[in-house]
Amino acid sequence: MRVFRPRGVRVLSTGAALPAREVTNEELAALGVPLAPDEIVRLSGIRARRWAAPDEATSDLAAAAARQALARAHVAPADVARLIVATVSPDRLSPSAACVAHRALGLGRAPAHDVTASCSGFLYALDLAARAVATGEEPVLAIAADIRSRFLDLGDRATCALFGDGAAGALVGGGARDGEGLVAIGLEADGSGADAVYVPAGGSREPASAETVAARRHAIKMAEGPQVYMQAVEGMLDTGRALLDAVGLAWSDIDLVVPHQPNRRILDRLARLAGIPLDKFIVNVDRLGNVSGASCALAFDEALTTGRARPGDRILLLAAGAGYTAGAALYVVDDALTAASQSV
Amino acid sequence: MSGGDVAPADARALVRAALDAIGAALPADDDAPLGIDSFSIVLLVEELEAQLGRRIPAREVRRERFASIAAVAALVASLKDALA
Repeated sequence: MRVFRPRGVRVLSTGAALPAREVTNEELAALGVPLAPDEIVRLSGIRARRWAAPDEATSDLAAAAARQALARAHVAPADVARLIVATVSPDRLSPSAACVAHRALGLGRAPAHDVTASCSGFLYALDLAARAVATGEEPVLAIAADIRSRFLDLGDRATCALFGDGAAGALVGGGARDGEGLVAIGLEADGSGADAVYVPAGGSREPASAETVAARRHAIKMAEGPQVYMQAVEGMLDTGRALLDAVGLAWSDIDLVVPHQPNRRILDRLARLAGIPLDKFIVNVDRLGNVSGASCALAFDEALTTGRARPGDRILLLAAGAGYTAGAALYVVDDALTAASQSV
Repeated sequence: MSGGDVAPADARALVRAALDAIGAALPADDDAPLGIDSFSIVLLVEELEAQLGRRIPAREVRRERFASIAAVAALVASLKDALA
């Protein structure tokens, strides 16, 4: 894994947006899913998740998260240099969700585009944002947003209870002091997992038709659940270790782990294999489920707004997802970010 | 995949012990379907890892490799060979 070590790049603020509707396991059971509420908890640790309203689209959540980040940093929309939205559930196949959010936010003529990296989406967006800032373009909004509830087959035991909706992200700029801000970030992909978790129809390989709808080919499929589970741990563990090696640190040097939240059992295994107590992890999967690319960003925002992340803390962000994709980032918190996080 | 004679007897014994440890029902014979769900496969992998003292690579965790005691034993044997 190549590790990018940007100079002077920092997060100015974060923002998050969750749909109002909370769907508990009991409500899912009432909808007829083939899992009992306590079985969902046993298998995944998930007790509830948020689902978007029928009139809510991914760009709406992305724009709401972006607005919060801008307000916290006291940055006007017109001053944003670029908008990146990481999503696998855009409003439409074309144009990008970023362009729809761009219109909602009033970002002037700033470029806007999506990035598709599934549950690693936020770190892929953060990497792009850091590279833009490092080459003189700032500030950049790196938002991850997904509404995966639209792509669920409620009759599929493997996926029906896992996913929630939401958005979160960061406004990324320059001015970090030495040793603070985004210290390092690294990404990986392994296309051998391209069919591990996927939505079969609706693209150019299998266009939408009456048959694809009838066969539920527009829903998320995950045939090899145990392998995906193990791969999620392996992706976060291996990229985390590679990143730490690159900067000369050990797992024990990390103050707070901010991981993607696919399943509580996955986080338990990750903590055990990394040798880090789970109380050093931000865990929200029990309340929010797997919010795909936004999970890691939601956890990052939660770490900052709840005061779990303090100035000087070394935060390790980890993500892994379909594709397969994975990534890790080391972030050292500064006073300005914690102040901004408490401001709105 | 039946595993056939690929897996040594000690690998099959290890798999039976691991199944017992996670509370899974033992099938009638080593080639009979295990019939365990996804979560039990994960539990079995973690139990085998504990007994073997090493991580089982995610790429090896495919349903076909957990079809029977013989199949799992073949996986265990291949991991042991890799260690040798």
